[in-house]
Amino acid sequence: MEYKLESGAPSGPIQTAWDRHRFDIKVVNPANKRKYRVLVVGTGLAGASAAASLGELGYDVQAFCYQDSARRAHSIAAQGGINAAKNYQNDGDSVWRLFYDTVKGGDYRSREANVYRLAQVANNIIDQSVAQGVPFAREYGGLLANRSFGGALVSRTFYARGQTGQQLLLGAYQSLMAQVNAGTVKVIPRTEMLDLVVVDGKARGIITRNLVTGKLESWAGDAVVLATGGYANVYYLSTNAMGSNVTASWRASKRGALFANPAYTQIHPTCIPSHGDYQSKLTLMSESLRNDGRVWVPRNKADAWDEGAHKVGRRPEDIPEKERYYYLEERYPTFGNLVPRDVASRAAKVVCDNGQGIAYEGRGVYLDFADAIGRLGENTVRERYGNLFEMYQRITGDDPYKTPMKIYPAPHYTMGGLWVDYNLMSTVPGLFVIGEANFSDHGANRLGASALMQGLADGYFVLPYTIGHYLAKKGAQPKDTSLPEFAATATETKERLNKLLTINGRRSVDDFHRSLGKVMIDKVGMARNAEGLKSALAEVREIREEFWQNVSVPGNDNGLNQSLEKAGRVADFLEFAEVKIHDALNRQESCGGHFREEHQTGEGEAQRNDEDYAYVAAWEYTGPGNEPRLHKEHLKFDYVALTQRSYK
Amino acid sequence: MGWLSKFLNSNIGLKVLMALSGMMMLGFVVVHMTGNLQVFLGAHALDRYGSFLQNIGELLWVARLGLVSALTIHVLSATILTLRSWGARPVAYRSKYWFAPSLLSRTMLYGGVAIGLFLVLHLLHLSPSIFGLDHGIAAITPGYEHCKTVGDGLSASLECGVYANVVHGFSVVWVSALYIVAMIFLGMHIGHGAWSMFRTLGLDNPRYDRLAQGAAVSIGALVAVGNSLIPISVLVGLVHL
Amino acid sequence: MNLTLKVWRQNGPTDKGQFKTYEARDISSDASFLEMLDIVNEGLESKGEEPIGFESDCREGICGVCGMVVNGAAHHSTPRATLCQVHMREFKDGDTVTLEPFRSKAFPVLKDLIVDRSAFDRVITAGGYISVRAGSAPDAHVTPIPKVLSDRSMDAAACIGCGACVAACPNAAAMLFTGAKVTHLNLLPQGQPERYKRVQAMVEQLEHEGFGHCSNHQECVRACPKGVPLDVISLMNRDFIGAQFKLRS
Repeated sequence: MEYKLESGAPSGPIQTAWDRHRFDIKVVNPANKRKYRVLVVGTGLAGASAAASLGELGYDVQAFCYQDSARRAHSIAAQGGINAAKNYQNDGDSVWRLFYDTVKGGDYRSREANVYRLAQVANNIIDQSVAQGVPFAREYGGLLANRSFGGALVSRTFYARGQTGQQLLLGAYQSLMAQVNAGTVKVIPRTEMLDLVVVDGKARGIITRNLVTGKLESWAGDAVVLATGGYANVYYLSTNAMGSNVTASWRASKRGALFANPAYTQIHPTCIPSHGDYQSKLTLMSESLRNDGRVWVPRNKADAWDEGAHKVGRRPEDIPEKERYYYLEERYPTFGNLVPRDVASRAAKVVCDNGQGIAYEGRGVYLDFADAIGRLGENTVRERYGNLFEMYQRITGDDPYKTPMKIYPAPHYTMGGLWVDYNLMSTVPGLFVIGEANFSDHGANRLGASALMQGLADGYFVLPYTIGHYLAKKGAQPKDTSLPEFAATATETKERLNKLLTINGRRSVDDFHRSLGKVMIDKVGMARNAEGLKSALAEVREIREEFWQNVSVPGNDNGLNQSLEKAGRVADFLEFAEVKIHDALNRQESCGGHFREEHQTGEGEAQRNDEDYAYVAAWEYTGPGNEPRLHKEHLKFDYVALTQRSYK
Repeated sequence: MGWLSKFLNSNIGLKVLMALSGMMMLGFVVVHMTGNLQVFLGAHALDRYGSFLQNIGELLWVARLGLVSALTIHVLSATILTLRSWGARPVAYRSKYWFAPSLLSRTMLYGGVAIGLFLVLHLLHLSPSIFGLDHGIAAITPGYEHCKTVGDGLSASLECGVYANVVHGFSVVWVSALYIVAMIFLGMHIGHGAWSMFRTLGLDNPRYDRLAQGAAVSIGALVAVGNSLIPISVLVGLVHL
Repeated sequence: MNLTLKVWRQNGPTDKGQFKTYEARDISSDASFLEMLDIVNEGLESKGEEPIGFESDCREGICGVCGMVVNGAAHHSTPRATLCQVHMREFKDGDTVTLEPFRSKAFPVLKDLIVDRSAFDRVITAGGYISVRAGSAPDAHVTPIPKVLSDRSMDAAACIGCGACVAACPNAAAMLFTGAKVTHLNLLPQGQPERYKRVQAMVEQLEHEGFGHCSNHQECVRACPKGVPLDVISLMNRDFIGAQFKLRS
């Protein structure tokens, strides 16, 4: 198919673009709003805020989530904070600086106009959240506190202890439930979207499975909004929730929505390493730990200590100072342990690949607080990191006050997602994509405390306007699920489920997921090369083929069947993985979270190629087993000069 | 008044009724104990106190009515709440781990029932005149042989002196034992209830919570010990005719 | 380590259900409790048997999805932890472990150890919010809020809605959950306009769902993985009593 990937962002000065755009787009007559039905899938920060805001405007909203309550989406696990250019600290912050930092942080692979808008509305998010009762941290004077986060030079991060995501999500969830009470929104929990229904080229509905009764249901609306999060679980082990999945996005992609930049994944440097094959997910430890902790591995491989392989090595306390390799401090004297996430992660991989890694299978490095404890005293360290140390000890059984922490990078956030224009609409008219599920604002790497900002910006302050433009132009449609397209899509879904249930193989779904994850993290993880990517492509195909012959999905389709839920999600990951690998193969440069070993500077740093790759790679699904087709949206940088990131 | 009945029928409303009636009864228990402790001042003091109470006339009936209403409300609310509580968990756990193994809170129900049963016995034992049962149970209870009945019907009373009643009554070991056990229950009931009622009414303050809890336990202990002193003293011969 | 599991199996909401015994073999003491169950379930799945139904999502103690009663304790007896934060090193080789669903009339069992907690959503829907339309908020610094107040509000807001308070309460009450939301919002200046309306509506819904009453046993507080304090209940009581007067004047 032919796609014209035009962002539709207004030309002219970027500072007034959003204002002008809001004036130019159509507005739905208030009296008519209730005639339009919007289906919102996912109730995380983006979905809940969008559904609530659309309800407040008077639209007829139906919100779906697979969890038992809209309050549980994985946004809830975000710890650090949310950025906004309020400049409450008087340290020179501004919308422009936030815009600039975000474009630069994304390694110049995001769309300028979107990022500027994001920086603009970020302030409104803080106002909105405070008004909802989000208990942000405050100073003794009663005003909001800020902290510097993720290497930013200004203090612009608002936070609620280590639970900022939770508090913001609860704020959005409560607004959503207020709309449920007002009768404008209906929340349909324990329901998973399994396909998108496209009628005459436009998104007109979805097919869902009721996860309790197993019933397949069709829902018709005037527009569909996907707020279904990222795809980090393609790696099996990630910091995402167990249920986080790519199914909704991937199904939409198979119905014509282009998938943009699937290669971009953020691998967070400070997570607790895996302990064994039974490991089900990885836990993030706040990035703030790197402020006082020193990262090192033993200089001698023989000293590396690996419980998994019963390799004894030496206990970290017994390794003398000069035999410790403080690799971040040595390689990056200026930033030291505080280099950005992608740089820190890759550096850890390099030393572990070199056999100096510790912990299970040598996939870990030390994060040592002995210096900090010596310098500041145990009490100060306890004040700063007490709750994190406690969490660490609970999980690992080790006491970080006595022995260094072990950390290792883990997939955490995905910058890629369905391609959307300035109105957040995908290439399927009527299908809008918001939050982590879209690709637009973070480029190739996301800065700390920016995910919450983007999810809520999309939901509260962007989509509610831009969706009106589409609806007003099109006029209200009959909400008719008896159209043949609904029946056809539902039949396909049903057949797929039946197929999964009748394979009766011998391998569990998780086992396949683990195999997929291993290939992905080894070959499409922190560092990639053409050879590895090609072999990954073949291996993923093999796993997929075996999956469809040998997966065991017990039980039936008429009730709660968790094996069936997982099987459907893993089946989609197995297909999605392929397009992700294709994207990684195609992008012959290193940028942000995408590092191609062939493209690095002499000192091993990422080497961007702005000449050939300053574009968004949007992939079209071309049928089962076929190679996806690449479409490009070229990125223009009128306001931010492209420079090489350096943290030396 | 629909809102009032709705409020009083709510769990919190019923708990408020329990707290208020409990507070009244706690007041009574403390006053009652203080009065009775005059037994240690000798027969004259206690008998004078007894006849003082007999002679306050209508006021006595007001007090009795108040206490009976408080008791009724307390028991009724407790019954409704307990039934609702059972209904709220129709299937019991196979095993139950107690996080906060508070003996006091967990024995509220049993203690309450025990105190209720004791109350009946107590009234029959030491104030049989209320029910005009002087020829019935009172007559066969050991210790009352010395008394004679004056008047009849509701206004009938036994004339034998409160002090003598006490000494005779508590000379019987099992009666005293029963009283002491009941007082322990009462003390425990108060130990939790006197703190809990403030929480129910929302009249607590986190800063003084430990103090409040300590105070409640102390009052409970005081009531248990203070009241038990009387039968114990009779038994050991400290208080005698 | 090896363990014997006595697990409540119930096929659906109307099924009668019963305990079944399973063996967990060769479990690492570093595994989490839920990973131990994953291993048992994978064993069942590869034999074509239906795995034990239990819920979990974030597995880092914040989403509030996981939870069951382990050896009689909601989320196991580990202090201040959700079940996903409990690790096998807290058990001994050869232990017998009993797994039951949260038991409450308001939380019907859907399957095995999975219960329906939508009653909580309905309690929040009744009034657990501050009505503020997107776009209508004043600047965040318009109303300074004393840090102490904001911190107390946050203590209550930390609730993850897991339902352990209900499961642990001898009366199956949801007073801690509801009190937490009432306290979070009613302490803040932004929450004042709807203060009494909120508590009235939420308590009415609470009653309607069939939760029990509060006897101040404090089981909920000890079972709560987030340390929500008991005071939230008395604050709710106070405001509910207050509502009887304020809403009528």
